[in-house]
Amino acid sequence: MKTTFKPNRGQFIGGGIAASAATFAGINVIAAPMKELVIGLNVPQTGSYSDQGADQLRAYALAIDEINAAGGVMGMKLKRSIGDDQTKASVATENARRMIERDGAIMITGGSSTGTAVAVSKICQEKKIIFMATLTHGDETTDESCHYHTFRRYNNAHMSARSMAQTLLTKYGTGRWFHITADYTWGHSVYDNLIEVLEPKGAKTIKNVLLPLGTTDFSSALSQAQAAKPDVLVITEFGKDMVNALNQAAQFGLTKSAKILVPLADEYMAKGTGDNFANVVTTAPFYWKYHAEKYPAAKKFVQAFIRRYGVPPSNGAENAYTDIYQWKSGIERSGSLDPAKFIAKMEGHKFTATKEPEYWRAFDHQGINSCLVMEGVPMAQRGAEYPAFAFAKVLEVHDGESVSIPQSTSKCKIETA
Amino acid sequence: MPGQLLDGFIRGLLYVAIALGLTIVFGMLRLVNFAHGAFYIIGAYVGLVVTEHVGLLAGIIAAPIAVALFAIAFDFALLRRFYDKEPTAQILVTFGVAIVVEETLRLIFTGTTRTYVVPAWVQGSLNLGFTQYPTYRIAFGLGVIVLVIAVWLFIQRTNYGLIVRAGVRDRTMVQLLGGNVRQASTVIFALGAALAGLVGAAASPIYSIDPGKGFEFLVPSFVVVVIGGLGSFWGAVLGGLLVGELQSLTTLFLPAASDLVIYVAMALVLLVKPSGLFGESEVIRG
Amino acid sequence: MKQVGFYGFTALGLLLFPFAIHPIGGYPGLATEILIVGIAAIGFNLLLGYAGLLSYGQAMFYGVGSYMALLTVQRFFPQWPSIWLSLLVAIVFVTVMALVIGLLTVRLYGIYFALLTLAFAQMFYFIVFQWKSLTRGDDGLQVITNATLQLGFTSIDLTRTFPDFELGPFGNLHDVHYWYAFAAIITLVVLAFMRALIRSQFGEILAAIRENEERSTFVGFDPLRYKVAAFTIAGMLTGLSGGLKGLYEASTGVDTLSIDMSGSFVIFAVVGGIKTLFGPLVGTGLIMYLQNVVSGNPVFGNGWRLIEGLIFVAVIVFLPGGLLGSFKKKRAHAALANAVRVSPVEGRP
Repeated sequence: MKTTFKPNRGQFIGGGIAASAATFAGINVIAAPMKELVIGLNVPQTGSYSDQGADQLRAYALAIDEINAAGGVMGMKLKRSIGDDQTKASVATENARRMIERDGAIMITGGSSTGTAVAVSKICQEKKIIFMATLTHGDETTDESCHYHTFRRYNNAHMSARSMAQTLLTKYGTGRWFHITADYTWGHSVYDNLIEVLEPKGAKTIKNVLLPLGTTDFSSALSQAQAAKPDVLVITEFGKDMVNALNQAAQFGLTKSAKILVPLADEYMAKGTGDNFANVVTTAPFYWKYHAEKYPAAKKFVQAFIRRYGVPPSNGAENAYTDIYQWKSGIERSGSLDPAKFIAKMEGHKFTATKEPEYWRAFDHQGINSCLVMEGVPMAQRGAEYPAFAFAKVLEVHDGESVSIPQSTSKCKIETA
Repeated sequence: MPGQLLDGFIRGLLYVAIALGLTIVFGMLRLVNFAHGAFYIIGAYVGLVVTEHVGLLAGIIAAPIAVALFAIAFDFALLRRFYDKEPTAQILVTFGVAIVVEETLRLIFTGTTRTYVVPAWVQGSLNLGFTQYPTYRIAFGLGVIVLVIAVWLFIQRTNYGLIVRAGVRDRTMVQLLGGNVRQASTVIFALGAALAGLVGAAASPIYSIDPGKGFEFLVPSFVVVVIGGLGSFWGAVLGGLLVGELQSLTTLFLPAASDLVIYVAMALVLLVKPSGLFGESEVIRG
Repeated sequence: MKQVGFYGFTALGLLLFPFAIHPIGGYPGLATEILIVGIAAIGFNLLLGYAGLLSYGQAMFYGVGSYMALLTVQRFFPQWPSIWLSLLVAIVFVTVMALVIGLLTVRLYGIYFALLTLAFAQMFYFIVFQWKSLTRGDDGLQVITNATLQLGFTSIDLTRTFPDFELGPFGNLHDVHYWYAFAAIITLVVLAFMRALIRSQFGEILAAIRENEERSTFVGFDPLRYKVAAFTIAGMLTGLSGGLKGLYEASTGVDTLSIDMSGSFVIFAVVGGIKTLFGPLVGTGLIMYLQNVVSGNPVFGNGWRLIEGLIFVAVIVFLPGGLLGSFKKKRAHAALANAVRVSPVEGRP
């Protein structure tokens, strides 16, 4: 691909948008005459992760409307191009292509799984379009499959597993562990990371049952777990699989007889498990209740979100919201729409948004920010304010630097352009 | 190990419960129903709404009634035209309706996975000596056994089964003899749907609910029915138990294959004895 | 004369297609994708429309085709990066696979055939998902785009675009990549092949078998041989489609082998019109348009699958010949209603 900014001209509404700026193949033009910037929002609207996708879309709409109301980005209004990726890599790729080729999107954002993120990241790299990945927790997005044009601020499996393991060792000691793990790359990566920290400290792994993605009945694994009488049961599942597994674990009495760990959860997963989430230990990059109390920017975001939609934002929504602002700041600091200049300004950039001070790591484009280890709260103790979403309390906050993949072991070989 | 066998048995009973309606409708009406999963999921959401407002028992009663009414409407509006068509056309139209139902439910209830809380007396687990097993699952399993017997008696004791079966073979003859084939067909179809709706409401505290669940259960229930013999009542029962045990034991020994194994089993049955383990050989060409 | 008419009409249609969809929000890239995926639907139609076999596992050929094409570039023959070689490997592999699976499955009818093909497709799905060292599991395969098409005397970079030429409401010629031209030529070849096939003795015998298998046996044809052949050709075209899609995207994922994808091929063919040459292509276009363009609507985009389901049901009930089949008055009644004929007792032909 040689052409870089080549928005499809006929598509510009009103026809007055100066697409001539974009015909210079390979040359990135300062977009002074442009009146609109198109960004592609590629999230699941149907399928298992439609809740997460819908919530990200809400956050995007909020950020874009705020930015447009305040004068846009370098005087240009933001325009959305939306796609339903259905949590399928091939569909996500088709959407990204449409956003770039038809709508002239200069940035793609979104995510629902690491599979879709890796596929979109690759096409964005080829087309030299910035990709701000949101809900992708697998290491590979910024590790072995990292790309020059891709940035991921969401915590990854390595960070979650390290954070959780550290908290658990200090709070609960070692003991006997039983694992139920989703049998795909993300599950394996979480499991390996946990084991790497736990076993040297003396934790004993009884068994790891690997179950296929989309398992509906976990009873067989759960009755094995029950018979083994573990101190800790780790359920490395995501989305509705996690909801099913945890609800079924409660039926087996395991939520009472063992400490339950769920390496990653969000508000909508917690909602599906209700009271069964009580005392479950999990991690998340952001929790509306905690951060809104501590950080004014988070408070402003959470309040605006609730005012507009009547419910608090999930952690994926926060990520979507901040990603839009981070991209805006990168564009404005570079004073250009040239991705290379943008990337130069992003790499190593330190900032404070809705949480503790954070930065974009230069060598792999992973956002280095804190990881929360949280514990589920019973419904009765959640108070009157959005009880379904006020699912946890924060146990510890781990500094991103201390838990992220060190450069020495990173498999990321990023391109230079 | 005994714990795993019990688990496979209970899991098998769920498959039996879902497959029952499918096999009855096929066996009697010669109708291949890809919308059977849609009946399950409608029952689950009706159960959810009624349980949240009234109670679990009310939900379990309301669900099959609501689904039966939906099925009758579906039958009158659409399906009638397809009774005499080849299975291919039936698969297509019921597959289309299944998509419409799933997506309508998604727009109404969003994609959030939902579950409902069961009354205290079926919460927790029972100590059976060799294993602890969730009380609700045991109650569910017992309920399915009662259901299987009740449905069997209904078909045996009433004329509906006879009329429909005879009607499929020679409609004119049955009508000459005074049997109302059309009415009997509707009753059987509604019964099959009501069974799926009932199971949807009763199984949801175990498996949680999301709009895609219907299709997720449809595929394994076809596996069950094919292994047992499409259209065979006791074939579905034994097929369900077999698939339940197969999956449960595979999870113990080779968990990565726990999904794969049921398709291998189905393919083997179809290749070696397409009429299924208990089916009549005459239906192969259906 | 008729030949000329067919080629002229088809070529003109393919020429105008990427521009004709521009006013309704389409774009040349979508046109390319529709043609590529449409090839699989055309192949599938040989099974459903002409042989009367409803395969519910067509995605296995599509998905395996895409994986084979990309693995050829990445693993098998990285020293010879060539679109032709990738397609060849994909087609040969999938054709053999379809032949073997066809031999095992075509003995069965109706629901039994549908479920057996589904079972095979599920097996391939899980194998591709689990064989991580080769397929990278759920991350899918991504390769460095190689769009250089060797033509012996020269080579063309398919990602290049045509020269700048403004077409008003129909976009700009410059938006069209050479990929479209390549896909269009292959589509034309596939359509011509299919047309010849249907009109040949093979097509007639296939139709005779569909209408009355027993009679055709009496007349001396072995129906199984013809059905296996139809299944293999359908598989081959689906594999070609998958291979092209993989090369076009330079990536693929396990969702290409999913039940959803198999169901999509059914929807594409039925909506457009089985037993029509162009129907499956039209159906693919309409549904992919819904999936790509309508799904982006901020107001009702999340309802696109409901719209798809409603269209599908409406077509089956009211236009059993599909959108295209219904244009041809004579064939309207014949199509689905006839392919799917009245079946006494056990649905025996």
